Amino acid sequence: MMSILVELLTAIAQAAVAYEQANEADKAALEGQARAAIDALRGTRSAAIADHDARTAETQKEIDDALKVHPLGALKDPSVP
Amino acid sequence: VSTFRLLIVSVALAGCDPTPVLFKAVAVGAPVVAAGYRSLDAADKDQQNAIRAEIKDDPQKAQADLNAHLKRYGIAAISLDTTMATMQTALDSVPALKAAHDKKATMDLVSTLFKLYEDVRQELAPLGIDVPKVTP
Repeated sequence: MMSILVELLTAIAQAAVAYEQANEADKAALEGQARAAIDALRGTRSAAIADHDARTAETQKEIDDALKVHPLGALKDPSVP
Repeated sequence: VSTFRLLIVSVALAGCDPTPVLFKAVAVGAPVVAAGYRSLDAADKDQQNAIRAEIKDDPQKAQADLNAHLKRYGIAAISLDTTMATMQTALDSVPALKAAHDKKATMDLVSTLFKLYEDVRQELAPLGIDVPKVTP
């Protein structure tokens, strides 16, 4: 009777170990997914910031050039609206 | 041997690692924050085009408008950057959380992430920047 009980519990234990191992593979896949998502996010951020920096430099240059030739450009402080 | 196996399984099941929930929270949040950056970039493009259109007539006003726009852009970018940094910190803290078996801290971190996604969405909406809603 005792040996049957031990065998039964052993079978349950083996099934649980197999489940836990499968679960570990799922966890690793999820971790990989999360890290890949963060990497993609970093790429998106870098591209957006680079676009903004280039755009701003261009706009600022246009403003600076216009201020040089504008009649009030040399007289007015650009930071004052 | 059978008893030993039982002991191992009991420990494994009692441990019930909550970090997959954290990975999932980062995985679903990242595309949403990325959409926020794309929306920020599109809004920036529109604003700067509008500013350029007025340079010829009034460069002083264009400069003032650019300064105001850059201030708003900076605020929005910081919100998105903070969210991204928190997500990275959450991922980096996984080994420590696992080692400590700290389920509460892990679940608190998940809650913090979802709150942050909602906060950044509401914060940027008035600036015309669209961050989609994340549903757990």
